[in-house]
Formats: sequence, C-alpha cells, structure tokens
Amino acid sequence: MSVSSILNIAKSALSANQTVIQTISHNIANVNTPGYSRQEAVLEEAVPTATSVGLMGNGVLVQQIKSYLDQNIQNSISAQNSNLQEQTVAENYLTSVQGVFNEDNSNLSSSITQFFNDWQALSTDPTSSADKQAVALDGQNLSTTINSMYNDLTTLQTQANGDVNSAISDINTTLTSIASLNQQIAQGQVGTSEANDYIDQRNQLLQTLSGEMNITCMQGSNNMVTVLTSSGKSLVEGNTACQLTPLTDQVSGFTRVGLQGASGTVDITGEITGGSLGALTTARDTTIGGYISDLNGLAKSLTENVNYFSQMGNGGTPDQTTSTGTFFQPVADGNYAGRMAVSGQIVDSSGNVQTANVMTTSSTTDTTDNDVALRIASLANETLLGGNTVASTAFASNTAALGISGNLAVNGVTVAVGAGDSLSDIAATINGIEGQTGVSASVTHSSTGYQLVLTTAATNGHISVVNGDLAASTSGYTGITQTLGLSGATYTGYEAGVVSKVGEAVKSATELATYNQNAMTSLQGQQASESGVSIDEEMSNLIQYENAYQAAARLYTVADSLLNTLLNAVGVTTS
Amino acid sequence: MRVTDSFRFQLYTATLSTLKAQMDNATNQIASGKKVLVPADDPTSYAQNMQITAEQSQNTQYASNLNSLQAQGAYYETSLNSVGDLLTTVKQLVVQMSSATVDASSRSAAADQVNTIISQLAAIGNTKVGNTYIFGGKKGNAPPYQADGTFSGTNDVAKVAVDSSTTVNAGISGNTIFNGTVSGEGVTLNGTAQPNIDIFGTLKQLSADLAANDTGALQTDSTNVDNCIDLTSNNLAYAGTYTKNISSLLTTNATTGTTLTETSSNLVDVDTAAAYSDYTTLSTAYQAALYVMAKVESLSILNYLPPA
Repeated sequence: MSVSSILNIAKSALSANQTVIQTISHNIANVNTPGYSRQEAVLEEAVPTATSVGLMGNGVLVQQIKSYLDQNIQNSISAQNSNLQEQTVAENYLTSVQGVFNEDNSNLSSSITQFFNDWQALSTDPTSSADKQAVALDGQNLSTTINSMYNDLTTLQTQANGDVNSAISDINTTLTSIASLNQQIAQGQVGTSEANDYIDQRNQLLQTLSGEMNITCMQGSNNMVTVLTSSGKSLVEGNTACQLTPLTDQVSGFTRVGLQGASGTVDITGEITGGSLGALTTARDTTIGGYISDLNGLAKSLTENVNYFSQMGNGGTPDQTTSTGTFFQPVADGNYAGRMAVSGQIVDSSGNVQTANVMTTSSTTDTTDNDVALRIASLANETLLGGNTVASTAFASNTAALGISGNLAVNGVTVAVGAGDSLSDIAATINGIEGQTGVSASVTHSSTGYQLVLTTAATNGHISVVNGDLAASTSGYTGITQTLGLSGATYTGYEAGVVSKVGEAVKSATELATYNQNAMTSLQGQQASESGVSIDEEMSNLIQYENAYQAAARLYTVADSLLNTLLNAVGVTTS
Repeated sequence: MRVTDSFRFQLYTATLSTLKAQMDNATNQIASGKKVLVPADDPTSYAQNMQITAEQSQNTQYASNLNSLQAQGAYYETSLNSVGDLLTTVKQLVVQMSSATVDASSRSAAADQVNTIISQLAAIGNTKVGNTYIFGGKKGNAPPYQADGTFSGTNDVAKVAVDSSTTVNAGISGNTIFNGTVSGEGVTLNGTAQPNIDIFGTLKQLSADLAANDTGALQTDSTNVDNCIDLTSNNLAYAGTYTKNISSLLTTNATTGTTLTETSSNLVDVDTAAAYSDYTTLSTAYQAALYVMAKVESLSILNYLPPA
C-alpha cells in the first residue's frame, strides 16, 4: 500500500486501455478486409496483493487478444467456395458455348435448310447454272459456318487450357504461402494479434485454394493445417508445400495436372472435380469436347451423305474413298467439322463455280432428270443421324427373310439388302464392312422380339443411316430405313437438339451458380455476424475506452497531488 | 445477430445487381419482342422454334417449287389448246377433202397444209419455258421434236417435291400428249380403251393419203383424227387437273405457313403487356431498394458523434 502503487495501477490501466484502443483501431482499419476476424483485447484483473486489510487490487492486465473466429463456419465457407467457383466457371464457359450455338449468331440451322432448299430449287430446273451456283455457294457457306463454329469451340478449349495453366501456377503460390503461414503460426505466440492475423490470412488462402480445387483440410500440431487432395494426397504438410506441375496430354496436347511428390510426379487431373480448376478441365475435355464431337457428327454425316448421292451422278457409284463426283471434299483424318469444304471440283481455287460438276442426275443421257438433286434435297427431311447406337424396331424372327430389298447407306457406305435377307444377314453384311463404316451390328433379343442394333465404337460417335437408293416413291423416301425402323434425327432436328442441350446446360449451371451464391451469402452472413467488424460497435467501444484512458490518466494527477501533499507535509518542496 | 458494415454493403450490392439484371432482361424482351432470346431462356421452346423456322424456310421453298410448276402448267394448257385448235382445223380439212367434188390437186394442196400443221405441232412440242423444253420429259434441255414429229425426249418426267413427303410429276411428257395415253388414266374412246394414239403418225398418214388422192383411206383417217381430238381434250382435262392440284397444294402450303408462323410466335414472342408490367414491378422494387439503402445509411453512429 503506497502512493506509488496508485501510479503502477494507473500505468497498467493506461497501457491496457491503450492496447484495447489499438485493437479497436486495428478492427476499424480492417473493416473491409476480406477474411479479417474482429479482435478483442481481453482484460483481466492483475493478481492482487495480500495486505493486512485483505487482498488489494493491483490494476488491470491484457490477458490475450481474442479473435472472433468460428473455424467451423470458415471451413463451410471454404467448401462452399469450391462449389461456387466450379459453377461460376462452368457457367462462364457454357455461356460462351451457347454464344457459339445460338442460332441468331451461328445461323447453322438456317444454313442447312438453305443448302437443301437450293437443291430443291435445282431439282425444279436441273440445268440452271444459277441454281447450281447457289447450291455450290450455299454449300460453301454451310461449310464455313461449321468451320467457324468449330474454330470458336477450339478457341474456347484453348482458352480453358490457358486458364488451367494459370490456375496451376496460382495454386502453387497459394500452397507455398499456406506452408509459410503454417510455419509462422507454429512459431508465433498464441493469443497475440499477430498470430490471429496469420490465422485469418491462412483461412483466406484456404478459401482461395478450395475455390481453385476441391481439397480436404485437417488441423495438425502447433496450429498448423494439413491440406490434402480429395483422395488424400498431401498438398501442404506442416511447413512444406508440394507443387503442381503441368503435364502434356499425348493425344489432345492439353495440360493435365501433375503433383510432384517424393515418389515422382503423379497425374491427379481425375481427382480435381471441384473448384475452378475442376470446372476448367471438365469444360475443356468433356463439355466443349462433347459439343465439338456433336458438330463433327453433323459435318461428317452431311459430307458423307451428300457425297454418296452426288457420286451417283452421271452413272457413278458411291465410294467414300475417292473424290470423284463428290460435292464436299472427302476428309481423311476424321476432323470433318474443322475441314468441311466444298470440293475443289465444284468451286475451283480461284473461287469459280464449275457448274458442270454439280451432279443432278444419275443418267448419262437424260440430262434434265433430277433424281440426284431431288435425293440430296430430300436428305433434309430424312431421319438419319443417331448417336453411338441406333436400333431397329422389333421383328418376330432374326433368321426369317424380311422380304425387303434395297440399299442402306451406313456412314456413307452401301449395304445391299436382298429380299431373302434376315436381320442376322443384314448384321453380317454390316459387320463385313466395319472397317469402312466404323459401325458394327448385332441382333439383340428381348421380350418384344429381335432388334438390329448398330454401334459405333468411336467416343461420342454418330451413326448416320439413310436409304441408299436414288429412286423416289410418290410418298417420299419411305425406303428400307423406315421399314427397318432405324431412326435418328433430321439435320435441323439434330442441331436443334444440340442447341437445346447447350441451353439446358447453361440454365442449370446458372441456377446452380445462383444457388451456390445464395448459400455462400448465407454463410458469409453467419460469418459476418460472428467475425465481422461493426463500426457502430467499435465507435461505442472507442468512446468507452477513451473515457477509461482519460480516467486512468487522471490517476496520475491524483497521485501527484497526494505525493505533493505528503512532501509538503514533510517540508520538502517540489516544484 | 450482429449486423456488420461490410456485409451490409455486400448485400446492397447483391440486391441491386440482381434487380438490375432482371430489369435488363425485361428491357431486352420488350425491345426485341422475344421472350426467348438465348437457348438458356427456355431450351425446349428455343429448339422447337429452330425446327419450326427450318420448316418455314422449307415450306417457302415448296411454295416456290409449286409456283414454278403452276407457271409451267399454264403453258401446258395453252399448248394443248393450240393442239386442239390445229386438230380441229385438220378435222375440217378431212371432212372437206372427203367430199367427192374435191379434185386431186386440191387434196395435194391439203396434204401440204397438213404437213405445215405437223411442223406447227412439232413447234408446239418444242415449247421452251426458261431453260426447259416442257415436253421433253427428262431430256428437257434439247428440242424433243424434229420438224416431222420424231420424238427424242423421254416418256417419263422428273419429279419435284411439294412437301416433306410428297413428290409430283414435274410436267407432262410430249409423248403422252402426241403419242400415247394420259399417264395412268388411259383414254376410252367408243367404249374401248385406246392404248396408243399417235397424233403425228395419224397426220403423216393423212398427208400421205391426201397426196395419193386415196379417198377410201380418208374415212379411217377421219376417225383417227377424231381419236386424236378426244385424246387432246382428255389431255387438256388432265392438264387442268394437274394445275388445279398444284393450286390446291399451294393453298395447303399457305395454310401450313400460317400455322408455323403462329406456332413460332406462341413459342418465342413476348406478351408485351405482361413484360411491361414485369418491368414496372422491378423498377419499383429497384427504387425501393435505393430508398431503403439511403435511409439506413443515415443511421450511422458517425452522424451523431461530434467531430473529433
């Protein structure tokens, strides 16, 4: 018990209130800092001194700087961010794909219709140069439309691939930062403002990281976190960060994601299913890749079927391996969408249309017959383009003669069917030319009967089956395909189906992105409620502790005056 | 629940941007007149509309096919009328020349007249519309008739599509008009079916008989000329049916066109009144959001503290 103990108490009070005010200023300064959790200087009484009159208080101490952080909400936000970023990236890419397929931009469907309408017009006047010009030029226009859609889609793929590369380097930076923050947190003192700030920063980085890829986090020793991939491969262990490395896909040339570990580099592309990186690889390989394949199926079928009948011109025979009499340039490497073009025989290198090479009739003598033109025009209405498998209607027997005869054109190759052929015979004929068509056939049996099933092994391949005869019956082309019940979509129907698929995908991605954004907002609301800085609250605290500080400062004056009084009493004059 | 400043602003921004996006969409709908602007707006309707647009375009092409057939059909009727007129002239001539009072030189002159009519008929047989000799069948790019009536066209004609599943004959071959029966219908004269009535053959025979002054043969020739006249009027009826059929197909085509337009409109066109009402609602909500934001912001503690 002495006057000096008053000074000590005043000193502790000044220091404590100053710390509180400093914490308040730190909060106010970080009011808008992402990931910042508000801090509070927790005060406690200093240990009292035992005196003859009992325990006497010794002032105030700052026990710790507490951070209002709810790690559970923070973890939920991180996980949610993975979904949110995935859907946002998917939505962006799908919206771009939608832009490519949007009929108002691409005009693909109207180009297809226009092309076949031109053949119609040509069929009404088979020797008209003007109509032949129109067929050739609109064929060119259709090819260019498909080429440019293909180019737009591959550009998007390349863009996604570029984004994959930059995501890999962003992730590497984040992993390194998390490891170094782990180190600092482990070394630092718990309960200090500094340690709290590091934890906030690390949480923010983990949130960023899970926005890039789906991860699993575990709390390790010394407050360090361990970050793992979804299958448990280590990304950050204590203060060590592993690094991702771009690998090149041998087939597509695109970047795959490798993880450098102690035992060499492992391909982890398949594990990254979430976050923006997951969305990017999915968009690049599956989504856009699938739409390119759809477009390719259309281009392939157009090329093969138009050529099939064009080659019948002037008494010729369809043969996909030669370019004689073709309308479209045959494509050797399978990239029909990218390479589709009107044959050089039709439009020469200087852009002139060689009308004599536009085939309108199979006859070498009946010059104004129009069977070829009419047959090509009718492709517009035929159901011909199917997916990987196409099945016939059910028949009662697989061995009984069907009594139908004619030609099928399977992917542009003739399959001759005789009246004595059964389903199994037709399947055998198709299997015999599998090398040319890429299509195999089988007969399946179920309770409804026997069905001829055509299958193409090509991933995302398409089977195009069309009645392979020129002759037109009065009721259109109800030929062998209809008798067998081999159905598909018309070209415009197929294209509309693809556009509808794109539209559904965009719609669903937009809805999911909105849903995830709402879920995120709700979590952020909970987080803000717990950890956010309220200026009103900080201002009232500021006033409260400012007053306390002023009161503590007043203690000095009081102690000073007490000392003065005492010193005067003992005859020592002070200033 | 604590409400913090940063989150409050975040919510304002989110609310305003959502409302802005919805208003933007409503404005676009009103401005473009379409409720389905991109596939994602309504994938099913968008795809259906694409199909319908394709069908509309095809339908227009079928109409154009039908119009060209109709134009050609008119030429057949005109030509057949001329053929009928010429045959009537021949008939009159035969009747006149059958008379016992006519002498050989007059019959010889009449033979010349018949020969002229033969070449006139051949000229009719070589009628050309646009690029096409309309009686040439599938060889319509060269004159199908020589001056003596020899035919080098084909008996059958090309077909033209008039809707997605129907084709019709593009015209009538000269051979069915000048030498034969109307396709698929046959000609029944005097109670018996006449499989083959050869106009040029009949006239050439008549010319020869006249030149040879063979009055006995003129009787048979007269009957044959009658058959030719009957064939021609049957053909004229056929041509009439042909053009009528084309006209009725054109009517169907127009009806289909109207139906397609209506369907398309139902699928993608906007109900302007509803869209405008939506827009007004959204714009009110937007104003309300701004108003509330301004009100709440004035409630900061900083407005009540004296300046430091």
